Amino acid sequence: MRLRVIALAAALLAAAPARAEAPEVTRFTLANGLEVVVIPDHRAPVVTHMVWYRAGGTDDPQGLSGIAHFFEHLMFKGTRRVAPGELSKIVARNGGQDNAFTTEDYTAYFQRIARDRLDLVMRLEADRMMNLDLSAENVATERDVVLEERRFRVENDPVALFREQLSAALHLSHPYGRPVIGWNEEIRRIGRDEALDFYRRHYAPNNAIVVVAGDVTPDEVRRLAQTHYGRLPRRALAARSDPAAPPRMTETRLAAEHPDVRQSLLLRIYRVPSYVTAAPGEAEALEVLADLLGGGAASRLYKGLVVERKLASAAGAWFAGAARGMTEFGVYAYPRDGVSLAALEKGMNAILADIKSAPPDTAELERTKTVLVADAVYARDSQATMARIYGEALSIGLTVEDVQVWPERIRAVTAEEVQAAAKARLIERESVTGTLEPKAKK
Amino acid sequence: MSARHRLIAGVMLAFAALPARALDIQTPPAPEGMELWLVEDHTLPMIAMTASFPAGSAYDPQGKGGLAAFAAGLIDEGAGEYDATAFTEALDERGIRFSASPDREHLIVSLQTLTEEAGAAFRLLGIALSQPRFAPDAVERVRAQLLAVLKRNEEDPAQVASEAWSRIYFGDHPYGRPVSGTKEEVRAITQADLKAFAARHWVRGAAQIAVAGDVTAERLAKLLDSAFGALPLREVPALPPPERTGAPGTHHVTRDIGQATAIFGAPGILRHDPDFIPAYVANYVLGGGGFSSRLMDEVREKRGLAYGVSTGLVTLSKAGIFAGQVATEASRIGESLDLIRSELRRFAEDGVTGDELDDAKTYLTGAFPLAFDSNGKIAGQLNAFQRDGLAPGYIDERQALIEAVTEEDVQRAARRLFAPEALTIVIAGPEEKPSTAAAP
Repeated sequence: MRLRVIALAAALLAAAPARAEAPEVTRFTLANGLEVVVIPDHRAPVVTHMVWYRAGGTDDPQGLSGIAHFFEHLMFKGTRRVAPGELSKIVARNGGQDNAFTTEDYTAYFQRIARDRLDLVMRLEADRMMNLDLSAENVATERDVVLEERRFRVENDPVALFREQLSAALHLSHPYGRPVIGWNEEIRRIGRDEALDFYRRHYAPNNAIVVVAGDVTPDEVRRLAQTHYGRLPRRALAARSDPAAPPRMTETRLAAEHPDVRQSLLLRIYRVPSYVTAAPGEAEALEVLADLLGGGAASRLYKGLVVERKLASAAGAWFAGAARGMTEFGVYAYPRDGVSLAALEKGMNAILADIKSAPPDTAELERTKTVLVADAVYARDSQATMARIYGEALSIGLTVEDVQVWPERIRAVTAEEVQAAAKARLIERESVTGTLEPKAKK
Repeated sequence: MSARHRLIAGVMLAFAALPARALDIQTPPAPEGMELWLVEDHTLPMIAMTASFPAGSAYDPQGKGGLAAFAAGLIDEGAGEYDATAFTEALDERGIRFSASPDREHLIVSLQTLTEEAGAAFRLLGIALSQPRFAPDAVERVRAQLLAVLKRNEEDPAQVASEAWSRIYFGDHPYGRPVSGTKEEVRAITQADLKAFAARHWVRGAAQIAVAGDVTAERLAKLLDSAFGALPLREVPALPPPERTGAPGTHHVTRDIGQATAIFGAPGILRHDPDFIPAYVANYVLGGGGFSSRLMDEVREKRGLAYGVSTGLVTLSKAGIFAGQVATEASRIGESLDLIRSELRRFAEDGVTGDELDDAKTYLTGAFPLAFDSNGKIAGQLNAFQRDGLAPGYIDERQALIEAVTEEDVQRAARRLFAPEALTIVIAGPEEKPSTAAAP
């Protein structure tokens, strides 16, 4: 779940102030520290209302991995005013849809509903921000649900299990190496006390960002936010965790076999700076590099491995740039029948060596940037996407301005910067290379 | 094959006082043999199109399963004067997004373009559909990709269960075959097969197009002509109705995994059946309504037996299916299925309460505008209605149709569709131990 969210947001982290007017984004802060962002889109009488908490998998206490995600489930299990399970039913009864998601760095709750129900959903979110009322029985039942979710998303999928292993190896002791959903045995240790402790330490208006996109005006949102959220008191919060990304001494290699695998896979992840930790321009260069290397059928990995050398059936790259700490840059390829993973890796390494030794040519660079910037225009077509982009940016410590100037910063990336980013960051020491194969028959 | 990743009629809530905002659907003239719906919106400088052609996997000839998917995978792998790389570069340098994927009955093509690149976008789309190269190296490339996908599908218990279910339910009928075919069939498909399929199915004749965004009817006519004018005008024969619709009972596919996935289904209802809307409402209450559904309540919320449990109505042109899915720890999948069966029985016997019906109507009418809040979603949703054989006026009629459903209507639909004994069930999971055999 974390990887999908990060990949989506990283790819779409912007609103393009392109030809037509860019959305006028308004941001303000209430006296109790709650931040509010308003993104108007009057094409449909609908709003997307999101509440983002600056708390995620990295805030799970040692030994209790999965608690941030488990707690996200528990936020639906009742307050002093709203019975367990009722919140989603109330939203549905008002013609709305709701859900939530957790990543390493944040947890977000959202509703999509008719514009005249914004008052209702704010009331519901403000209520559960402070008034959660959990029974041990509901916690226990929901723990079973989370264990089923882990089975569904991870344990039934050998590639998902494999990805967990790679991340654990890459980040050493940093909590990014733990799965957001948690390790199986640790999920089982989470009870009502642990959950309420997490709630008290992280859920407060001064640790939250409300994003409203859709058929609204800033004044309207300000008035409603003040009414519902404004009366909530600040809480003293523990300082946000700031764990070390310890130095790596050498590359890690994992060779895994699994009885459920039918299609072999070569996957490598590098530890690289994020939009938050990178020097100016470097994250944008990594973004361009990822697309140039493996963003589509005209990319280097695809052209080199799939089209020209016929070593792979598919190949790609991604950059999970929207993270608070050192993050992942990934490259992958699926070998064609009859091609060894060793041969495939050799081919992949040759392509990576090329981009380190010479800058891309102008046409290739401009094409890559055009696709990225166009993505930002298409993102403006969806109020839900816009809300997610802004919410994610602010949750990890970026600003509204960072989002709005992203297309310009992408356009400003030079060929030399792309090459330099590859040389400086796609280095062996900072990598885990994994191969996943079917279990050999004995 | 590469894929770039991815009027609201009246006010639905009886008690709301919002001004009605109608989705203004135009039906301008289109190239002969094509049905066109257009929603103009000039707010953003972009255009979204979803188009469908009668080119789905049900048209795969016997022994050539995967042909429709194979052809779809080649749609951006070289056409006209462009080889595969040149075609992708032509899209990328203009920021055009283009993808095509088949389902059982249709090839669904999606195009998004900035306004200023629309001319090129529609021209490239037209070349892709009317002059596909199917060059030998591209064919081998996409073959390798399909084989990789088939292998990945074998790793996924839900996919395995679903394919087994279709095969068991429909037998030899085209609906029973996997959309992506089988490895043996995909290995045997030739360039000649692909060219013949495209020539027969990527045609005007039953094509349906929905467009939303920054384009007038007048400009769109020219764009569509450049895209589709060169396609032959040809009728595609209708699919035969299936002879077999179900194999009631429980069937097993052995997978040594911790969580079993069960797919269950029975004969459903066709889209134009007078009882479709009552059935749709009944399904929402039973298992289509997420956390508002009875099955979520019983299976997940009360007992923690599953992360997801849901039901839905599938409407193909020649068959309707009522189907659902649940995944539970292997030793307890029987419990989940017992609960589902008893909920079906209870629903058929007792129907819905007045409150349940009111809540369902409020959701189904109230959430309708959520499907139309972007150009991309408008194009996609309207094309879905076109494929269902609905008229543009449906957008305005839908609210009244849902509001008119009575408790008796819902119970009649439930008695027709929710019959536990009629269920065909496939479980992908570990081998069953005799002591935990599920009751039939």
